[in-house]
Amino acid sequence: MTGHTTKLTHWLFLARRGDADARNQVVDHACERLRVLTRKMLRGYPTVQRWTETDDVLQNAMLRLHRSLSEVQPESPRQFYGLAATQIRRELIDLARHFQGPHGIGANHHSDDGKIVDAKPIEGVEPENLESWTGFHKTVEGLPEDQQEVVSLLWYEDMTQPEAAEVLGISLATLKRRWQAARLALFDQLKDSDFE
Amino acid sequence: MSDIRQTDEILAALLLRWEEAWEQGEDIPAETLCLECPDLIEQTRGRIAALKQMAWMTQPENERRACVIEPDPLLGRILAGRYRIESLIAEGGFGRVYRAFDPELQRHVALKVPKLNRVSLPEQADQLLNEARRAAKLRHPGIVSIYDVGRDDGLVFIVADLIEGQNLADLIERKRPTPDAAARIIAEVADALQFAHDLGFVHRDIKPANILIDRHGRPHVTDFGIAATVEQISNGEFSTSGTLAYMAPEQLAGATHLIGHRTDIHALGVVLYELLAGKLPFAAKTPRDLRDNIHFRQPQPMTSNDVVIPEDLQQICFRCLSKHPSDRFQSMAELATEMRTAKTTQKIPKRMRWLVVPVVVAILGMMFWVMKDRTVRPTSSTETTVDLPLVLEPQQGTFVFDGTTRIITPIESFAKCTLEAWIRTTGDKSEQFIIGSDVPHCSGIGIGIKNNSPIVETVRGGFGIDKSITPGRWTHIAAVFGLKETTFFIDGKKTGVGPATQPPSCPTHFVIGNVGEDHDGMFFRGQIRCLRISSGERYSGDFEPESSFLPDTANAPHRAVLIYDGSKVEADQVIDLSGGGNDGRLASRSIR
Repeated sequence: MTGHTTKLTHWLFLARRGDADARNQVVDHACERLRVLTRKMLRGYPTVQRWTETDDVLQNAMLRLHRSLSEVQPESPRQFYGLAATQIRRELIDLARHFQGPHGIGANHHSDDGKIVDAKPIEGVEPENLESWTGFHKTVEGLPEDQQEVVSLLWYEDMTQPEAAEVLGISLATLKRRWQAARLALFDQLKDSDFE
Repeated sequence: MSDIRQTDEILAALLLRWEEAWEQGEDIPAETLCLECPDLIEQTRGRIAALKQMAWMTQPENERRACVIEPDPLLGRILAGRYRIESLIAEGGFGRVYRAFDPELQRHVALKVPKLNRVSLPEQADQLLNEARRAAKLRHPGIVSIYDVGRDDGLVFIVADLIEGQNLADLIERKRPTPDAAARIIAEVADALQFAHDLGFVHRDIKPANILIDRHGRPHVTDFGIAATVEQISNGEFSTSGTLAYMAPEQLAGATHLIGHRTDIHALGVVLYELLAGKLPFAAKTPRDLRDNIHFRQPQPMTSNDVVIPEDLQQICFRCLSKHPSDRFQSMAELATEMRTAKTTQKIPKRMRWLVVPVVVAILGMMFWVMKDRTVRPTSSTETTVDLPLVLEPQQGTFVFDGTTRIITPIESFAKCTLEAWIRTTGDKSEQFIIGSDVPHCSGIGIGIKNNSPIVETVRGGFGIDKSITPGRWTHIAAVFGLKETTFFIDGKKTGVGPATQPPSCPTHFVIGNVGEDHDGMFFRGQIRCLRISSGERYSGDFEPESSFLPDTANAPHRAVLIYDGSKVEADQVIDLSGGGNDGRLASRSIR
């Protein structure tokens, strides 16, 4: 086992024994992932980082995530990551809705002074706006459980493939097959959706 | 449905191959990937395009990971000045297995690097390498060969055959084999283990993850003695290591005097149970409970939701799982024979017969639609069949012949003899020589092919076989050169009889893939997976061809004097697996 999975397993062990610092470490890790993915989701909106509201909203989302994860006693990295990824997805959907709402940055799209046009073009079916990000997260929720689990670990949790295979207790080859099947299923649904 | 599922499986395998190359910067075209299944080109192309469109889910992760997580320091490194590590294949408790390239012998190999903490002391490393050196003596088509061991900057590593395929654990999870296929796999593994047992080896860690299945579906036992040794080193034990679910009672009890080849039979019984039922024979919530169940309880009743498990196979399996070694089969050979003679189909129980009618109706329905589709679909000009030879992609583990290579054996042609091989032809209709001995300006003993039908040379002359061989399909051919008649078999069915063979008047060596040892004229365009030359008339009536050839036992009525397998080649030397020491020489010539 390598990287952060090893650390997380250790933290989980300590957290179950009542170590408050370990519990914070475990939850902080999920919050950091939420921050990274929020930024990824908002990268098509360059001026958003000037908006103090963004950080406030993100902070609130992170607090909610912190609270929900603090209330559980995860037995295994697999269980923890499954729960954390689900919570992260829900917060991302809520954040997307918030920014896309009548007072969100989506509504003020043209206030970017053309910077959005200068942003690096995104190829393929990668979500380009908050609405499509919402669609993406919901599509992931609709994947078969085994594929969803792999997307959660590799994409939402940023694990390496060997780490994810170890957490799930499957071979690297099986993980690769599920990861491929998940991306193909996502592509099929994203290309046909209105938010392409 | 099974066809659709099979197609999906093939597509997934092709796309994984594409992705592996894509990660290395190579974009393999769909046409190249689908050489053996051209009907899948369009689907493959579409899915490759889809994966490219979804690359945003992988690329940014890799970029970020490069900053956050240390990359594997071994990737791209050259170990011992020879093996260039290309990619990680697998990772487990043992350590890591990499795909590496050996420029000396111009081939890919599997390079196993045990975890550092497992061999941190010099004596531990020595013990592991000694075990690997010992296992390197095992040369059998059903055993993954160890080529080399070494050290580099504190690391120890083992170099072995690279088997392109998957392990049995993956296969069980992905698509459990049918009882018939399971019986064949277990019989072939038992053959390989019998060979090892005869040489005094006990595996001690037989489990699905240690049985690799190559692209032809043939099993190869790996980690001979190595995995168990690593465990022993870690635990400070010297006799009882293994994987708990597959361990025999005597292993758990540390009854070293009882641990032997029948311990492997117990483990293979667990694997057989898993293949048939899709679950382990002993279930438990904790390791301690599992140990108790293996020691004291009978296996769970063998049931499966999706397949009827033949009674014969159940009986064989339960005998393997007997608590005391003396109640099990006494040898792997005995087990292999039982597996091959067992009934692998089961009469459908009365309570399930009602299922048959809808299934038959469904099949007839599908046939109707297939026929209907064939009937009404107009043939466009682009669908005109063009009678061109297939281009066979070289596959690891096979001999590929195209006129540039031949194998020269040290055996001089003789009669009576039996020549046989698993071949794959391209559909090229020209006259081709496959295996035999040529006597310049007159006939020798040999097998060839012309217009997709076999031809046979018997010294006295030749005769043709009025049956075709399907291009692109693995086919077993055998010619029995007797002194009363010469008979020919395709896939074990007698398909032709010709005049008696006469012992050759001048000595020439048997050559494979080309008409002669040092002259040209006719050569084979296709692949040979394995071949065997036996003294005497091995076959008289129809038979079930073995998927790979094994050495004959001492009391067998016929003796293989030469067995070559495409997976057992070292540099230009083709290893003879018959035990006769008749290694062959790969000779190359420029393309005509």
